[in-house]
Amino acid sequence: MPQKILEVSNLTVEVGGKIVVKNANIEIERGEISVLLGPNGSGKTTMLKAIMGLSDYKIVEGKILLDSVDITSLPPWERARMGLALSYQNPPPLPIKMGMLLERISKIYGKEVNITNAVNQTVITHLLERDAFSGFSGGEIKRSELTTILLSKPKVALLDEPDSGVDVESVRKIAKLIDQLAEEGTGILLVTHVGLLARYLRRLGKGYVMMRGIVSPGGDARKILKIVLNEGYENLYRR
Amino acid sequence: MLSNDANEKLTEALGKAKELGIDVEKGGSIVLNETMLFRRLSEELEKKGIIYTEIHEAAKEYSDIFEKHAFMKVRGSLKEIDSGVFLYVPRGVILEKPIFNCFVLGKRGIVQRIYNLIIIEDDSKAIGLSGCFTLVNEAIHSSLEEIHVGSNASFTKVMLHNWLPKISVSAFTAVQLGRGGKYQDIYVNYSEARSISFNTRIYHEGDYSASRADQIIATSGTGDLKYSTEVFLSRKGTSSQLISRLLSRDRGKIKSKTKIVAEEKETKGHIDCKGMLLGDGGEISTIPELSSMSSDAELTHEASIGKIKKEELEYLETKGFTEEQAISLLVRGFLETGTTGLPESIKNSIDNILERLSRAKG
Repeated sequence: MPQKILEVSNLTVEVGGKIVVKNANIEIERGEISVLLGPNGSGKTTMLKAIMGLSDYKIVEGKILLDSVDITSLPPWERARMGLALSYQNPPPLPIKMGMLLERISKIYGKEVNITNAVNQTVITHLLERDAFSGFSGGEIKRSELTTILLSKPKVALLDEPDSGVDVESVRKIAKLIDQLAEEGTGILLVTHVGLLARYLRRLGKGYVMMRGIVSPGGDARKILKIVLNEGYENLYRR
Repeated sequence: MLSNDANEKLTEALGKAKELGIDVEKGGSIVLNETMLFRRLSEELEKKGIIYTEIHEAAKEYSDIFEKHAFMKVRGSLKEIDSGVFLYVPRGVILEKPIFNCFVLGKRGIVQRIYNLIIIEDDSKAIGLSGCFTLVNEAIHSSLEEIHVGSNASFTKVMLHNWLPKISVSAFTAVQLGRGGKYQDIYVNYSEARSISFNTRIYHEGDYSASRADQIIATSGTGDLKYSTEVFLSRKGTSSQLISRLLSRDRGKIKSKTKIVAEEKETKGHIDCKGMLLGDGGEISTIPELSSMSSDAELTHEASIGKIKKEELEYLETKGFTEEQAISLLVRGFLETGTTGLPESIKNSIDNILERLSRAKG
């Protein structure tokens, strides 16, 4: 029996005085990967950041339930500790060694999380003594962000284009990690605008399409992907 | 025989030193006010020919060594000095464990005048950890220091300053490096001293000698701290790195001048100076200066002053850090200079201090 782990209802988000997300509804199930597709500028990143609670993304209407708890008005760190995680598309370079950042994250989420295992899986051991995200390649950024997600063992992971700027081989590795997260019970909302990554995922569930701030009702991710890749977003939108 | 008061102060100073990770009982000394009250060096080190004693005593008992090296690069005379440390490491002796020195102010209104002379002979290696702190408020610490590092010798000096708000400090250190000599200087100030004026000069007088100076300076309250470090790359193939991390909370002022002068061929120098302002009334000035008299010298510098960025804070908050934890983590990362090669015990002491500094509230 599928179990809803994240429910976003009628979410309207304002950024800089402009409505960017309009009455969005999304449901994520435990252990399932849902995909949010859409062209550049359609509002996908804005929606993820609003769900995570970032201050520039004002929720003017709607509700977010994480494991049946209303988190709509909680600060980001509380949402994170309750089991919501966001993987940034472009995390800011930080004046902190990557190793120190991961060590501190693992302290927040408990001792059972093994940093060595996580960094071996994501192949970022060589980055631990470098300032986080500073001068990293596209693939290194994505794998480092995914490591932070692995360490927090979230109930729901919001992954913002973990495949952008990454070579095909790395996309396969990233897909494997995402599948593994889902296998361990994490519900995943994966944002992508090309769908390449989604082709490699085994635990794909629902698919949503976002155009001009509006999210389509959820459908079968693989079918939606096929239409998007064959006909483009505009045709899908007209349907 | 110490008076009761001196004994109590010594016990207090030993305890405080230990808290800072400076275990003089393992080998080192404590100068309290004008007097060296405690000195210990293991028999093993004495057998190796290491001389570690009070400066006036050294001038009398080891006058040949003293006169050859003392007051060569700093101006002054022993008449104007209350006390200080004399460390002599003979040729070819490797000292793996650090020697600890503490300079403690324990009497209100006192002016403590120190002169330290450190001589590391050719092919030798030593590490010194000095802690300067106070048991009272309203006093002055004034110090002169000369360090001579011989050919292919190495000396690492770690200095921790922890003063109270009504303490004034003036210090001058001169370092002379022989051929292939290495000098590493790590300085951490984590106090609210009223004023600190600290000048360092490093003279590369032997070919291929190398130096590195890391300054981690944090101030709060209304402290007015001025630092000046000058390096003279006067011989072929010499190199130096000057790294500063300046952190001002509240209304603290920090001014850091760093200068590298390349006078010879194949010299290399780099200045990396970063400042962070955490308060509204504080001030940080960085003045990096590079001067070259050689066409193939490589001199570079990078300098920046800023505050914590909102996007950095928010990123960390999405990873589960509260705002306070996120600020601490960003400050901790900022203070890191990437020093390597220190003994574990010293590394831990510095890490603990940086941890404390990063958690302190402005």
